[in-house]
Amino acid sequence: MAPSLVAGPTGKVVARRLGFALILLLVVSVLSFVLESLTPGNAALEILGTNATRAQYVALDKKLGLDLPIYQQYFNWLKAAIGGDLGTSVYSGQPVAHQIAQRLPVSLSLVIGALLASSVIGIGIGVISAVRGRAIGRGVDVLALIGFVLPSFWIAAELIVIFAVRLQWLPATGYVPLRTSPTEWLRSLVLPVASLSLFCIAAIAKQTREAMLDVLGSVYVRLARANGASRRSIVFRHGLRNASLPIVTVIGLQAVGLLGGTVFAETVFALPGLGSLLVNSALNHDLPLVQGVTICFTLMIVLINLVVDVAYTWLNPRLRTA
Amino acid sequence: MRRLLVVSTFLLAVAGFASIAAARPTSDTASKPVLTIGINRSGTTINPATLGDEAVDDLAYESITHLQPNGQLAPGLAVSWHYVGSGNKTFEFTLRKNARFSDGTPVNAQAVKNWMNYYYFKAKGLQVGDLPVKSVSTSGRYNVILHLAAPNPSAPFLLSEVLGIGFIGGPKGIANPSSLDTGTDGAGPYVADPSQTVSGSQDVFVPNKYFYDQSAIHFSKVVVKYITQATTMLEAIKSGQLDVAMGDPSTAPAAKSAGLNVVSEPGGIDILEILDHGPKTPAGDPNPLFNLKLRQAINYAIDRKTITKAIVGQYGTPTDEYPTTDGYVQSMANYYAYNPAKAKALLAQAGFPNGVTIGVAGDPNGALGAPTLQAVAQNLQAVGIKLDINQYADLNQWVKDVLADKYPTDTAYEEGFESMAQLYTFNFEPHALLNFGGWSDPVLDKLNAQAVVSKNPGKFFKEMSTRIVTQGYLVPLFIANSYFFTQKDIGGVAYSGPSREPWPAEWYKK
Repeated sequence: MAPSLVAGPTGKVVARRLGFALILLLVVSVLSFVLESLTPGNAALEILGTNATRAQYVALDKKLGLDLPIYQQYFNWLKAAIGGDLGTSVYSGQPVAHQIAQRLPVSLSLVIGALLASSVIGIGIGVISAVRGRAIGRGVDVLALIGFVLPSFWIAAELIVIFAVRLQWLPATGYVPLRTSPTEWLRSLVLPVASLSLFCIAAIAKQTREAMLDVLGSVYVRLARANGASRRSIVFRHGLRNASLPIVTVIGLQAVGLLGGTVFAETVFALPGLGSLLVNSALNHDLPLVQGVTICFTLMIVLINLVVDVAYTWLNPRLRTA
Repeated sequence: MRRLLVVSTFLLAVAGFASIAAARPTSDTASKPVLTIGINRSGTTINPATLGDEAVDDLAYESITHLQPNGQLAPGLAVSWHYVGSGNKTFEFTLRKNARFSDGTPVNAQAVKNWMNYYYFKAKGLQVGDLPVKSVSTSGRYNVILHLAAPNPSAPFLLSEVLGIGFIGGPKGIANPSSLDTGTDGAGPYVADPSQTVSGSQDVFVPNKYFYDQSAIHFSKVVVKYITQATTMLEAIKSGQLDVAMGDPSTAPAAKSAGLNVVSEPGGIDILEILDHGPKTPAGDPNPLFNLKLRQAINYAIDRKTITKAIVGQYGTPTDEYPTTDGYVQSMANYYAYNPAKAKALLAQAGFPNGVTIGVAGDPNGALGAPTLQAVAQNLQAVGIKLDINQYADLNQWVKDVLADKYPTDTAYEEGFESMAQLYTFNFEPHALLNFGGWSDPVLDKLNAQAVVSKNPGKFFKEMSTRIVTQGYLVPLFIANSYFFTQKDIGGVAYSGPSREPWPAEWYKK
């Protein structure tokens, strides 16, 4: 990296975010550990079920280290995590890092796919409605309302009934890895991405429309129009570029929301991603796995915020020279 | 120009979508079909020694004995078996000579001994407590001897598919146990193909070329998909994505309406368990449930037929006898015919003419939990027995409080049916997990002691079951069915209560 970039505003943003990330990771790890520990039941009970002897529960508790005080369990985990070892799932015995690595591509496919689809469609609809005028604008408002009101799980169920059961165009469940078959990978993602995207499209379209109307009504845009600038130049060079900051903000917020949305989408469509892993590990009181997945989600949120901040710096020249 | 560009882009997008939609997976080109199964459990590992699923493990691992749908045992890896001497403490079985693991290694006594040592003493499989083994030895090339830690007359049953203890793995799996999470090393008709595994989503099995009965292999590939949501499972099989799906009582009617076959057999028991049998409560007060007439009054007061019909409709059977796999006495199933007048009389004779209140921890099993308990409470209220209900929403907390003896009774839905030995061990043995206060019934204890060393334990188990019913120690309510949905062209999906589940290795396409 060139020294000027490191010392420049972008470098400062990155450094600040990374410092904040470390503190955030520590706080999140403590909170999730404590909350999970406080929920009733434990991993030994989940593993052995109700038909085991007391001696078996006690033995398994000891074997899993669950008989240690909570703070001791946390420090043992923290020490190992700092050394790069996220531990082993108490339920399946598999390394936590291995399970996360297997499932991360699924969740990333879902989130990135939904984000791309939402951004392209949402910005497109928002720009068109701002440029074209009243009827389409009202249409966007109605679309936004529908998107906000309709629950995603209902949309998911209806999509399955129509496209999987009735038309049999797309699979109802399951995930095919990209390396196995790119076409099947795409097919397995269409319905989950569609069910996640509607809300995001609505939010991005609405924000884009408002931001564009604001910019298109400003003095310098009127001046540019008066000076004979083309419509294309007005909309994209002057309009969209200057409206991009709030759009980027809402996209960033939606991206974080999509991470949470993976939980329901992966459950409804039986996708083996991080969301369903987090739910199952929480239900099984699998502390190392809960910690590992929580840390992973936290890192993804930090990364999203970092990208948004860097995007701000790039889009707003005033921030570069600040 | 711009409009042309927009229209072209739109048409391209539609064409792309159509091609994606049309690109359905081609079926296997081998002559045998592909079977796709939906399992309603999360698939984290297929190692039968840790958290394996019996229905899935059955594809790749042959068990020592084979449990048929009618509940009878047939040869598996073992062609014969018997107890050595008296006392049911030494169990010997003889292996078939032509069995091989999926890498071609012969299945012999030494290999089985090695696996059982791994299962019992290294992996410490989850079911070791059901058939505790002290040591394993061999006699000759094909005879294996289990030296049991305590007398147990149910070894042949327990070494079948039913608990997973009987699934035998090979030396490759023992040498690298982590390979068994996504791969298999069994002697069954199929072998897992880890290259096609999608962790947590599906496991794929292909034919084992070393399986001793190639005619029993009906599919070129078996795909197991893990789908935990009942409605998602239903939509998947309705869309044709699955051939067989583990079902659910809430989706069984919709499956039937959709034209699917619904295979439904007794699969579990809903029960009001009496936990405090002794003369005193944990607080030291006289325990009303110690009184036989009160326990019998409770049994007579419940209209099992109506409750069963209301809760599970045609998919359940009322019973007042716990359906153990080896002690069930058909004639006792309706011993306590619904008779509220008799219940009131018995209650008065028990010394409670003005009624009595009994605490109960209600289990959080959705459809079969709270609604059933409410119905039972209404029946009991009508004769003067008030249930002080604490309805749990959290399973873990319910189990914790029940094990801590916070309530004299609880309700539970138990999947599968226990053997009488298991029922006695968990509910009636002095200091058993669900027997508080050190209470015991000398008659039951004596019958159990005779059964575990007997060559014909069935007659003792039946006497124990009769005793449990007549003494009102438990209040079973109904046997609920479990469900499998199948496409019309799938055959062989059959099971009964004792066999618990149909075994995928036996299915075929019609």
